[in-house]
Amino acid sequence: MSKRVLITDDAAFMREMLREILTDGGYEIVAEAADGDEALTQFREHRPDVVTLDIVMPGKSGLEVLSEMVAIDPGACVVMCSALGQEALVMEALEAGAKEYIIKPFKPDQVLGALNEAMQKSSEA
Amino acid sequence: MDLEKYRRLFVDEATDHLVEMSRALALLGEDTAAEARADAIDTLFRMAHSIKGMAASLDYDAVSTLAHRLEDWLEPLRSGSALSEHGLPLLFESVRALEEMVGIVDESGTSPGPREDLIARLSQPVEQEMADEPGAARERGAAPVAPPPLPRWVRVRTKAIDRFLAGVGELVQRQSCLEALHRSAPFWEHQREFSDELDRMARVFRELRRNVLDIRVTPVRRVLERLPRIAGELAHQLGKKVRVELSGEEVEADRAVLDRLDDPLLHLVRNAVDHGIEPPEERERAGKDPVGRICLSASAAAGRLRVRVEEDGRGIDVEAVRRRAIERGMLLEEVAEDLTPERISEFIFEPGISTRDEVTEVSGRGVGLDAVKRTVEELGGTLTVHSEEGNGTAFEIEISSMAALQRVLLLEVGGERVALPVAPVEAVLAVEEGTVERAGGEAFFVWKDEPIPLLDLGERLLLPPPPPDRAGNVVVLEARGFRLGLRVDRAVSDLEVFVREVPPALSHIKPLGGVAVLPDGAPVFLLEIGQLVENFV
Repeated sequence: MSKRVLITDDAAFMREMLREILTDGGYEIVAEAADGDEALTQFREHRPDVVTLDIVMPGKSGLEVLSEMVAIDPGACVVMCSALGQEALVMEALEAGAKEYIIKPFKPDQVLGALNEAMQKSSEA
Repeated sequence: MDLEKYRRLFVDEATDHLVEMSRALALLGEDTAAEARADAIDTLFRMAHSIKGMAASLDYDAVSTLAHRLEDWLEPLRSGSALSEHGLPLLFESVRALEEMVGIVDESGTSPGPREDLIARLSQPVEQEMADEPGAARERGAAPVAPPPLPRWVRVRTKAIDRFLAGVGELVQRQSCLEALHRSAPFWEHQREFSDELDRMARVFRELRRNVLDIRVTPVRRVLERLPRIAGELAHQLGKKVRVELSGEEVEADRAVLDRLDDPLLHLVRNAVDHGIEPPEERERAGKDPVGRICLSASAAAGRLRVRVEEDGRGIDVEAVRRRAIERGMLLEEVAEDLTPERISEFIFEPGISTRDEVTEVSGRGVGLDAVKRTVEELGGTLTVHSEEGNGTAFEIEISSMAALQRVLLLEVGGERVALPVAPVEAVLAVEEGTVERAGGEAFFVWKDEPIPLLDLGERLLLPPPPPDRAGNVVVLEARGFRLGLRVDRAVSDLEVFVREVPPALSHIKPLGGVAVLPDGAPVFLLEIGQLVENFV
């Protein structure tokens, strides 16, 4: 059975790109969210196998959303999406429970590799 | 990867982001509360960040580098550093450069070139930029503001497309009905059905036409949104303070109308900042808020769109305008005495009347209020002004919100100019009198081995007859299923005009299909070809 993903990014551009890469990689996209609140609603409803979460978003930041997701489900498998220059934020996210991270611009291999890795870590935990 | 799809998404989202950045910049240019300023900085940062990510994905290196540098430059401001007076122009320029770059991607689909100058300046930390020579920064910031053109695409409500597609579906259905009729029996046995079917088809076409116009409807936001930033930027250059308020951005109008209003509005807003709003000291002396107020408002009623640009500045100096109009010989002194201040104010729309003696950099761009008025009138609209000395000026554009843009052929005949819809025109030929054959009262000439009946347009319009041996043009066109030649003195050019309805007083004259205003300001009648050739073919 293909793995179920929730994509979170405020840019439709990035969501579309992830959707394409992940669909080609055999994932099922259960929902897309454009901000943190929507992501949390979708997370509660779908309980996806893995979540991609943008760090910089309007409203709730990626870090806030991450900690709420972990509070809802301590085993939540979250992959942070960031850009160059946000190493500090990424470190913080990994400490707060994110399993992996991807650096924009997205490269298909890198994205699929990170998600794979993240789910592996999740199942080991 | 479908590059075109991502390019569209990029242009679409980046354009939205840039609008938000413009709003944030406008806020920063005003005396805003600290909290709102922090929000504005945050917005600028996030938008730059998002543009960077998208651009990097598409390998638009110049865009992603600039956005990245901008992001870095904003970082210290996010953590509380103050934005210097000289930092603001740099932000304005950066956002404008990004706008230009996104415009290039939109127009040509190519990757824009780098802006080394801005990158270099953004690479200096905020403090250093602050320590810059104030004069130098001002000089750089004072480059003439030339915002990139509006994107040539538009977002359409899916409902409008659905309606349009439903119309097309109905058309297909009508077509199969006609075909079935045609197959079932000879035409003459079904004349009645055929004509009913044609009536239905005509109705479907009318609806389709309306639906297509609907697709072009877009909110006025399209043209209003970036004006606050442009006003803010200009005010900053001129050492003035303005606050711009928008209202009625959701009012809708034909996209073609709005796009043509872009320039006039831009000019009116610049004019408001440059000539209307006084410097802060002067405002304070006059007991006004040092921050000038510009209100941009749109409203719509009965198919008319109204856009108002209103400021609380010094108002039009009616005496100065009166003197200038007399000096320039536009007005006799005796007459000037009797005119109301409102009537005098309207002289600012005449070429060569500048309300201020010194020509500032902004107003000295060769475009005046006369050009604004002309553009608005070309669109079939009106531009009016109300001013109160000391209290401000309001300009109002009123225009049909669904203009009919039509391509016409401009003709000269009997010393008059008339226009003809270009659609039925097949060719414009030079015809010598000698090649015209006459049979009884009728004239013909041969074109592509076919005798073409000639209709003398001047005669038809009861204009004075031309000299007997004239040479001229013949416009070959198809009307009511026949080909005929329209004899004119000269076919001048073809151009796009906004066609208005014939005024009621003239509406009984059947061959008149509408009135348009030419770029030189002269009105021209549009001929209705069907009526024109009645009794001829």
